[in-house]
Amino acid sequence: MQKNQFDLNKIYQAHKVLVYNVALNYLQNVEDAEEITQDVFVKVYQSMDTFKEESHIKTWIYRITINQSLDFIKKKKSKKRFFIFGTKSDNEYEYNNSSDFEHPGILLENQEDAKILFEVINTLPENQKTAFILAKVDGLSNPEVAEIMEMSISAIESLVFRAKNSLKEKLSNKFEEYRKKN
Amino acid sequence: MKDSETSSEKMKKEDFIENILNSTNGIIKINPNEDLLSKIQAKLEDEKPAESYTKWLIAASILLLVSLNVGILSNSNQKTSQNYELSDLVKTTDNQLY
Repeated sequence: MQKNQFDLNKIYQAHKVLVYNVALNYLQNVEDAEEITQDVFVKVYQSMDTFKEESHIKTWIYRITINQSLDFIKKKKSKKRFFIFGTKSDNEYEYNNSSDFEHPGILLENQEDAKILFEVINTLPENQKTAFILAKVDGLSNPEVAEIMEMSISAIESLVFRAKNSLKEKLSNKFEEYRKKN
Repeated sequence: MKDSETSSEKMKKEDFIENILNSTNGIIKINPNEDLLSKIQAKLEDEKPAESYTKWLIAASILLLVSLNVGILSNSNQKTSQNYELSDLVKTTDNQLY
């Protein structure tokens, strides 16, 4: 698609909720999700010339959002490692407090449980985390997740299955911890 | 008695896990801040001059390189023709005294 045919405002209005919510589920921080949303649309605008219309624009935007979010997390982690011998940075503070995040889209009665869920989701391997967030939090179907992640449907089913099992195991340990405390 | 205690513990654990896994049910999609689009447009505007500046810089560098090459080539051509003239002179001279 050529840039002159590209209407940033139109694309933004059609995909802003998608981008912002995926980033929010990944990063669990409102400011970070807003930053990622800006970066995604800047990247979409800049790489419009290279977009091959083989895939749907929505799928393409999903991929950019996931990659931007993963890069952002990696940068934060490396900053954390860098500051581990120095004074604590603001990023480190935010990073350590990600489990305190109250997702604005979660029902009030589920907030406490969702905090634990996001905390455990963050410990999953990258692929499992992506598949789980897209399928179980964002509510996409397995074929849709497969198209975004460029994998087969059975591979996605396996990833979600393993993610769920891993989460169950970790939550079971958490339950034991809570029981010992109380 | 002990068996019923362990099964109730197991039930509690399963409920705990299920509640947490289902805590995102009914999640509502959130709209981002309204000023995000203007921030994106500002970011793109900020990057535009840098982009065109880089393009001009590359074009100017190529032009400079080409003109330098042309200059060097024409200089060396002149020198070679001068050399030819000199060698022609030498060839016609038979070093004999009349």
